[in-house]
Amino acid sequence: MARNFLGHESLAPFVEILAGRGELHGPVLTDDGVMTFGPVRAAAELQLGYRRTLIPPKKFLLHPCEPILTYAPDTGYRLPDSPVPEIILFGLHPCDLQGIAYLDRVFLGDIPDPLYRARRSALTLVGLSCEPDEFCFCGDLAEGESSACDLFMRQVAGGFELEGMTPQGTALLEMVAPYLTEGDSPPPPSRTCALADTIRQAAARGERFGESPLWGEFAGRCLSCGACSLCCPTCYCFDIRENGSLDGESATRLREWDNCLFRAHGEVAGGGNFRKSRVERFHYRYQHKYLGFGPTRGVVSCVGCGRCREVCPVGIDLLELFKEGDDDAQP
Amino acid sequence: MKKPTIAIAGLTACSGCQLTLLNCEDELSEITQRFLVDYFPLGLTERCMTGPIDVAFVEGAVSTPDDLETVLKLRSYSRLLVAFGTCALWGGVAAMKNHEARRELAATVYGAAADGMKTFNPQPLHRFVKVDFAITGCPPEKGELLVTLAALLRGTLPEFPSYPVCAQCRGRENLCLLIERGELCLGPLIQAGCHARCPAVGIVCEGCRGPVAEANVAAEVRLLLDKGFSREEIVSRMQRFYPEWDYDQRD
Amino acid sequence: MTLSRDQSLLPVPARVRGVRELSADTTLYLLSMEGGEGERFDFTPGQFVQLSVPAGGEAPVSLAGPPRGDGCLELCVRRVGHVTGMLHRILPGGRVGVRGPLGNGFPLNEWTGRNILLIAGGLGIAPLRSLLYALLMRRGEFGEITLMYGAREPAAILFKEELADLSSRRDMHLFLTVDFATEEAPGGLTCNTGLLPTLLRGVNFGTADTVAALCGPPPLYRCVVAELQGAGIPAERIYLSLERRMKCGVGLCCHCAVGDLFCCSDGPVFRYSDLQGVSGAL
Repeated sequence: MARNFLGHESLAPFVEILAGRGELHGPVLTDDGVMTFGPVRAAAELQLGYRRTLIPPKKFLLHPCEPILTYAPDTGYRLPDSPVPEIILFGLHPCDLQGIAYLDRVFLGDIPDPLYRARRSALTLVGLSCEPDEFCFCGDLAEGESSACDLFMRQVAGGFELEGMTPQGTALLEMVAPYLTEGDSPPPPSRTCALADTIRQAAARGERFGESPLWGEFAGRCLSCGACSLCCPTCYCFDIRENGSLDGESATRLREWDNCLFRAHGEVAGGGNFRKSRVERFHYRYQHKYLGFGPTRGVVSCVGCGRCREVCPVGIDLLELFKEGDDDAQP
Repeated sequence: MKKPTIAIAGLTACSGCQLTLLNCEDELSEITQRFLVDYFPLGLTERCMTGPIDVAFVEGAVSTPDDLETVLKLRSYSRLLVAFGTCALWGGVAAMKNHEARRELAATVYGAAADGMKTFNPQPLHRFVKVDFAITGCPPEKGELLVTLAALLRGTLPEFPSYPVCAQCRGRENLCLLIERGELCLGPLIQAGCHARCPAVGIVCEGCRGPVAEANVAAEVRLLLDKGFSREEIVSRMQRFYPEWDYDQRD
Repeated sequence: MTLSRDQSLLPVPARVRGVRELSADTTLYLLSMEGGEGERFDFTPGQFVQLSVPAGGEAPVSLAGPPRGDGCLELCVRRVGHVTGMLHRILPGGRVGVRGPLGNGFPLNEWTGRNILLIAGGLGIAPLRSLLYALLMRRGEFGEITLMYGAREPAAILFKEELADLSSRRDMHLFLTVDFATEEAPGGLTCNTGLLPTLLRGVNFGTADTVAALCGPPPLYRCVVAELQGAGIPAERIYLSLERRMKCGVGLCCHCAVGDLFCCSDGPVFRYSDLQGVSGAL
């Protein structure tokens, strides 16, 4: 049997070892009681039984609003040269790991984004198994994605079973070897989720629910607050704008998280808009989450984390579309 | 290039917006190097409008004949006129009681002295003059003012993104006061740019920056009614900075 | 041509070499790429660049000149927004930035041996001008070449002198039309009055083996495509260059999706057959 069991009592030294390798971030509570991936100063701060953070780990790769270029007359446009810190992200659930895997696919594709690439390669991911609650439904949508990390920690009685997924993870494992004992936990029960299956099947047949009355209902209620996509681990739409400086010469180009439910998302120069109505914008969101665009055509980007359902002030849940389909299938 | 000439003036208001300029302490010397401040009664000893002005930043609502005279004069002197702050753009605090009779309001505050007062319902600038650009806020954000000044140096005006306070509030990972605490927060209806300063310290968004372009007013009101607030409470809160909501607006 | 490293974000410096007013609100810019990038700049008609104006930002602009491969770019820009407004203040010698070429462009090599019908509305003449010159550079490889160009009014006709030259060529046909004839057509040009679909009906362009390439405002597509199909040109031989707000230009920011395609990276040139049934495409 492998020596891969880390008892709860050894968590603190393990966390210390990790913290020695870079900035350690994990699930912690803010003063207001919001669950967030934040800096971890001591193992006791870690909320390892957490359900989900408000903002997913994408914030480490794509900052909510960040400079992507600076301009000066003598140098022209330049990429920012701010140092990229080594970050260890501790305690990511499989859904969030899958979210990062999806973003990797987008931002490290044919034309890699230099800022994303730099940050991603400075990121060490430590995954953590979880228990679903009433909002999430990852089931096998996130299955196998526990491997999309460097080291995975499965919560078992009395501690964790650790598994190195990359050479980096294996190296970490070696560093904590003195604290590991032989594990004897039974293998994890396979988790299934009927909804995840329904989604996958609907996406595979290119379902658009074009006739559903739900679209109009969603559009009537939606506040366009943006929470659903800001809190989504795979939403990455961004806006770009540029501001001059007071010296009259230099400038900064910014990249900021955008949202397909904002009206400006579909605007073109001169004021025209290709997605004038909120219904059209909802169709667009559905297309992106479940059917994909361009190089992600056919890829379901929903990872079942349940954030959008939890953070919508008016209780809009795109999954109702799939459930409605279910009812029709079984009258 | 010739230094652009600017004017900063106030109508019926608290002068807080004009103070925003003076609060740009780190940038003030640069601003005075790049611009010729021609007229700024709050900050200059010399109080005479001398000549053509490139850009006039006007704070406050129009509520007296004097206000009207000032704004007309600024308009005729200036190439560009900027509504500076919520009152100038939306009516603001001064306009919150516009649905009540002006004479009675004045009497409530000033008693018999109200009789001779020449005052009318406070109105945003665009009711009287052409407005070229607006920087909302009560008071406006320093950053937006500086970006505007920087754009003016290049002969243009900036583009501010249009989305509600919630977008920046979520980004800061604040506790949602609307959902988690059931409080009367106007975040979904209000133009962002403030970085959700109030919700970040546990205070609801009271709407000081005015409506965001695509506010779903009807759905927010419905939501607040469902949370148990009375229509009077909701309307009273919403009117604090903007009296003219279309309560049926959906997008 | 593939993008150089980091061009997903970083513009290559370019200098404005020439400025030519084409109408009251539209100007042709001649740019040259700097820093050794120039010689490598080659493109296919229909492709676009992201043009950076310092402190203004970027705007997608289609390449309007012939693909000469000499590092010079011609961009036809209408003053409609923030960036284009700032561009119009830049004088010859001024500095801008360019990312590109981006997008797919027209598949000229698939068109050899066919008749080519180009239909441009308004500013849509820009990419089709590039395409026309590319076709004429390889004149022998194609059948009949016809350009139909519609503008709002005579004063809005772009490239008037060039059109006058083209109208005298014997190896192509040129038809012009304006929506409203408020004044005489500019010197040397024969100009119809009426909308493009009407003009199309009156012209024999030999539908057999014809490829049509369109660029213009969306309402133009809706009526012209119907006319072309009615005349017997199949949907897979009708090519449209679509307009969307392309921000990143490399298929990342998600502003320009058309159905499940990105206008910036899958387009901006699409076969009509790929757009049929795509809600909101036209």
